[in-house]
This record gives sequence, C-alpha cells and structure tokens, in this order.
Amino acid sequence: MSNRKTILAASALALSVATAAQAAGTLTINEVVNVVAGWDMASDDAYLGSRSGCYEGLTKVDFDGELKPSLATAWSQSSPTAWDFKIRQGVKFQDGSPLTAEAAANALNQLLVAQVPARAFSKKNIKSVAVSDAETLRVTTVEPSVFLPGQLASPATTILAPAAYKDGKVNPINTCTGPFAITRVDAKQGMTVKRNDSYWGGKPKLDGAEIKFISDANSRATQIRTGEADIARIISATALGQFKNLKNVKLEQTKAPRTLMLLLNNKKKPFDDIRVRQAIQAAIDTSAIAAAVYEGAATPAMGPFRTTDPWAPANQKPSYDPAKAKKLLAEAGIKPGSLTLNLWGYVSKVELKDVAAVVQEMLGQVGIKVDIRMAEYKAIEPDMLAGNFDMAFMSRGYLTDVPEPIGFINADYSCSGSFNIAHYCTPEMDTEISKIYGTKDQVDRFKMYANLGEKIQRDAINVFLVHESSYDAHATKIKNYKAHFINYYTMTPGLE
Amino acid sequence: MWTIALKRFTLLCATCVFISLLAFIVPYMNGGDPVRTILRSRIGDVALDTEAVEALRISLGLEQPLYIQYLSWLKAALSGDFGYSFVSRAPVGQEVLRSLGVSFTLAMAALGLALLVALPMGTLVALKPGGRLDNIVTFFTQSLVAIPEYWFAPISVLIFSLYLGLLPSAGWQGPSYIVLPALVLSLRPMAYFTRVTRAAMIDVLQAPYITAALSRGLSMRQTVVHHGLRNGSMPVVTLFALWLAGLLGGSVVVEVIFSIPGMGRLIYEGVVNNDVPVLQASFMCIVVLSIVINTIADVLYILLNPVVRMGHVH
Repeated sequence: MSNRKTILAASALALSVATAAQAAGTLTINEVVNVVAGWDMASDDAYLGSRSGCYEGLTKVDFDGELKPSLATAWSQSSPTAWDFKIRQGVKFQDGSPLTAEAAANALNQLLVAQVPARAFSKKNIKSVAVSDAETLRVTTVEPSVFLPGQLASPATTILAPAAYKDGKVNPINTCTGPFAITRVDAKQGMTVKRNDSYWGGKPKLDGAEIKFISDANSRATQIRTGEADIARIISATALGQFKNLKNVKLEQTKAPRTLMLLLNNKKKPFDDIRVRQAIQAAIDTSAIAAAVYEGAATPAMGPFRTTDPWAPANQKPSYDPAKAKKLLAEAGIKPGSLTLNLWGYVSKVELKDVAAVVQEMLGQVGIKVDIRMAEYKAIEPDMLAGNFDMAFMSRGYLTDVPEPIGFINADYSCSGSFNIAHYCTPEMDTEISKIYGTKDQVDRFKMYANLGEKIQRDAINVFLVHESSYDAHATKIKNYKAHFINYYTMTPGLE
Repeated sequence: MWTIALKRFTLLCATCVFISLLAFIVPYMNGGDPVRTILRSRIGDVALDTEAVEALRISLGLEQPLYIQYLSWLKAALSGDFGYSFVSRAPVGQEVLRSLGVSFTLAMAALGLALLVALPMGTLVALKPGGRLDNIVTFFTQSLVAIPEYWFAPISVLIFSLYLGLLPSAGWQGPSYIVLPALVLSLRPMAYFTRVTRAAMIDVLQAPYITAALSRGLSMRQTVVHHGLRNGSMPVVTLFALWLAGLLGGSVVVEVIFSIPGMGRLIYEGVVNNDVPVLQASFMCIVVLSIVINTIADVLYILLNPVVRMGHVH
C-alpha cells in the first residue's frame, strides 16, 4: 500500500510540475495557428507577432474599428498619391536601436522587395517609401488612394528594427517596439513573450506570456477548463455548451466581420436571370439556419454586412418569403421540379454539410432540386474560379487589410476582382467601386458602401446566410481582455 | 547475408524513387493549382492575390516543367539536400528529423507500455486457456481493437486531465505530456500483442522441452520465464517492428488531438498544404526506417531463436 501511495504522490508531483501555473503575472494563451512561414510578413505570422504584443505599425485599428496613431503620431495626404507620416520620437526597438524615419522606411521597403508581396503593401499599389526629413516618412502610391493609413495598421506593415531583416528573412526576437518582446519561438509548439519595460506607451501590467499553438479546437476548449490555459482563442460553436455553468471561465463574443454566403454563378443559366436569383434568396430562411445549425451562435444575414456596421444599409429586412420565391420562379418560366442545381461546399468547415441539407430542403419547398457535393476546397476551387458551378458556400471575411470593406467589394464584385466567383460584372458597379478609392471623407465612403450593399442584396448577386461570431474563452481572473474584431491584438499593455 | 543486404538495399532505392515520385504528383492529382493551396496555407484566406500567387510560383520554382522540377529535386536529394518546405521555407531535413524524434519517442513509449501489459497478460492466460481469466482478457483485447483513437483520446483527456487533473491535456513539453497519448496509442498494439503472446505461449507450453523442464523439477514459474517466454515472445518481436514502423507516420489523430509535433502531423499538414518537399522527405524517411527496423527485427529474431541461430533451419 505504501508503495502505491509513493508512486501516486511522485506521479502527482511530476505532473503538477508539468502543468504548474506560470509565474505571477504570466499568462498562458492558446493560439490557433503556429508560425507557418518563418515570420514572413506576407503571411499570417505577422498577425501572430501582432497578437503577441510585439509587432506595431505606424497606425493601429482600435477595438471600436477607429484608426489611431501608433508609431506615427500624425499623417496627412500631401497629394492624391502621397502620404506623409510623422514618426513618433523617443521610441526604441527592443534591441535598443532608435525608431527613426529611416528605420521605418527600411521596414516598409523590405515589403516592396519581398519575393512574395504582402497584399496590404505591395509594388502593385505602392510606388515608393522615402524619408522626407528626420521625423517624416513619405509613402507614394501608384494610384490615388485614401486607404493607405488603414493599410499601415495591418500586421503585415509592422515596423521592426533594421537588425530584424537579413537575407530576405525576418527575425522578430527583440526587434519589435511593442509592449511585449518575443524571447523564444518554437514554430510548431509555441513561443514566450516578456514585458518590454521601456515600452513607449507605458509599462505593461503583465510580466509576459507563454503562447501555445493548439490547432485542435476541442483541445483549446479543454485546456481553458483544466486551467492549463488562461486565454483560449477561437472556441468552436459546438463547444460553447461546455462553458455554460463554469464560474471561472468567461466567454468573449466577437461579432466577426465574416459572412457565410451562398455564391450564385451569375454568368450561368438560370442565374443570369435576376428573378431566379431573387427566388433563391426568398426561398431561404436564414433565421432558421442560424437557429438550427448554429444554435444561435451566428446572426441571420440580411445583406453582406452586419446591421451594426457603420456602413450597413439602413432598414435591412429579412428576405424569406417562399410564396414570393414561387411567384418569381413562375415568372422566370421555371416549373416546379424542372430545375436541378448543384451546390458545393468544403469539408474543412464542418457545419456546411448541415447548412447544405437545410438549403436543399428549403429550395425543395419551392420546387428546386439540389445536388450537394462536399469536397476539399482545393479540389473545387478551380471549377469555382472558372465558373463551372451553380451554387457554392463561401465563408468570407469582409474586412481585409483595412478596417473598411473596400477590399472585399473590389475583389468580389468588380469585373477584374481577384475573387469574383459569382462572375458578376457591370460597368456601373465598377464605376461606383472606383469612386470609393478617391473619396476622402469616411462618412461619404460609408454611404457608398451602404448603397453597394443594398444593391448587392437587392439584385441577389449572392445569398447572404449568416454572420458568424467568434468566441474566445478566458479565466475570469484575467482583467481587461477583449477579443479584437479582426484578430490584430491579444497581448495589450492593459491586460492583467 | 550479403545477398540479403543487397536485396534490401535495392528494394530501398526502388521504393524511395517510387515514393518520392508519388509525393511529387499528389498535389497535381486533384486538378487544382498547388501554388494557390500553398499560399492559402500561409495566409489562411480563400481570396488570394493573383500577383502573390504568381510571385510564389516563381519563388518556389514551380513554373518549370514537372520533370525538371523532379530531376532538380532528385539531384539535390542524392547529395543529401532535401530542400526547403514550400510553406515554412525551413530546411526540410531539420523539420523531418525533429518530427521523427518526437514520433519515435511516442511510439516507443506506446509500444513499451503495450509490451509491459501484453507479455505477462498473454502468458498468464496461456497457462489456462479457456479459463475465466482467459475469457475476460479475450473480451477486453477484442474490445480494445475496436476502440478508435479519435474516441478514446478525448475520453482519456476528460478523465485524466479534466476530472482528475493529473495529466496535461495537450502539448509536448516534458515526460508528463507523453503519458496520455502513449496510453491512447498503446491500446490496440496491447490487444494484438496479448493475443499473439497467448497463442504463441499456448503452443510453446505444449512443446516437449517444457515437459522436460517441468519433469526436471523446475517450477512452473521458472519454466515459463526461462524457457517459455523467450520462445513465446518471438512473434511479438516481429509484430513490434511492424507497429513501430506504422506508428512513426501513422499517429495523425493522436498527434493532432494532443498537439504533438510528430511525423503524422507533419505528413498530414504536408498533404493538406501541398508541401511536396516535406512529403518527399517524410515518406522516404519512413520507408528507410521501416526497412531498417524490420532488418533489426530479423536479427533479433535470430538472436532470440536458438533454432535459427544454430542453423538448424534455413
């Protein structure tokens, strides 16, 4: 018996050492993705650097979506294609070297010479980055653009010390300006950050953090329940029930700028007829999908944008009306049971097979037969891009690189858009989109987005199903944690 | 001996060329553009910039004809350079070696645990075939074979990590992190080892030399330990080698659930991301190791089996 006790005690000791709580003031955070591309700025690694509290850019997007100064204190547009940024004085990189206009120019120029360009800052849209004087940086764009300050908040445009860049590679260890310094990286397992005591924005409250890369959603959820993690990012909707009655864990919901949509192939019959597209839109009850498949963890969509977005069209209404759908189909000359459409989805998003079944049933109610095909995204992508499909699911973020939906609208709805899978193309839409790029006043731009959003919904170019929410979980002892709506920040100076 | 070595070496080379070719063409089999998949794995977004896709294609040398790509790779591989990962741009050799070390540790822990239970259990039930203990063990071994890892892994996490708080639920940061995944991985080999040991020991215990040993006055325990177990464990050695080779790259489910940076996960991610250099190096590494492990098992078989060792059978 005593032997057994000894073994148990030894085991418990060894295991408690392994799972021991971190030193006071140090958190354990479960991240979803690991370092995938050796800190290449054009990759998601830049987001990881930003969330770890290390990376900072010239500007930043706060938790309310407002563009704020960061390493630049002010900026102005000196000509339609030139922007001047005043560099914050007195800031030091974590290796002790000073932040200067020259260092900032060096960091941004590294992006322009990178083998694979970053979408937010590439030669396609940036002509040059040059030092105007000791405190000023001038960025010249290829075309007039009002979005440059927003682009410079993207983690891809982080400013690191000159020592970080060598032989086309990036080394973030002790080369950032942020509240925390990356001190150790294991690309597959995790990394360690510690407080930057000389942070220009004041002393961060935490000592540091151990950031673990846990790709499995269930494992992340379990670790927050066992106490192995203090913050777990992106808890899957199916795991939310586990946290209902837990007093020591809190869920943070983020209304992500992400929409699940049913893409309709506008260039192919019968979707070249607006009445058929509108019939599909009217036949689908998005509230039922949100309730039945997402169990309330998603919001029914009434257009491409959330109703709470500042650029959302006013008076959005649900479009579900099966009687109207039947009438529109009759007007388009489609008899009940005569139309069979294929519907594609990708298996990496597990809930899509359920959504597909619901959509199949709803379209069946108005006399449209649906053949479902679920496959790996990479297997169906070529046909989708080539326009060899009828309908396809797509979960799409509408804020890419700037905190406004311009990138999404341009890529998905302009004739030359890089992601125009709906194959929608009208000169009017192109003109409206190009006008936005030259509109300086944000309020005016928001009105233009609203008008476009309304048109996209009215013409049923695609059918917007639900706006997805994301959930982060954290221990209740953690204070001042907020999930950022476009995943830019986790380790903030105020986190404790 | 040399003939066997030469045959094995030829087999090894042929298999390596075949496997590397297979790994090379896998990304092209679904008809998609492999470069888009590679880029998507780096930026985690479906909407890709055409400019970035083409820049990456050139940067990785994927704009060249397929046969030139393969020959360039083969030439470099023959000099020991397996290239760089398409996704991480890290040297593939380092990534594979590191993952292999992790998977080898995990596999040895799992198989060691399986042996630790299976050998005594198989021997014990072989002493009384058809007895109550034999029936119970047979029931459990058949059940264990049927338990899928994707079910048992989360269950074991719930029990040992969440409810008992004894073991870490995921990660690879020390000895305690090996226990749960090794336990999960050990169940099926444990069942097979037990059944094979039982069958072998039943045969061995009926052999004349066991009767002779008992009649010389040796106790049952001494007879089983000194004369029976050594012979009875020989099929297990072969099975052990097969399982070891299998687990080196075949523990994907466990490695994903427990966040273990092993070969299974490396290969899985390589397939998903079209990371050809990683796949080629991983597959070849597993092929080489499988042949080496099986050769070692054959040698061990000879050492353990006096009949073979003394040259009584050919």
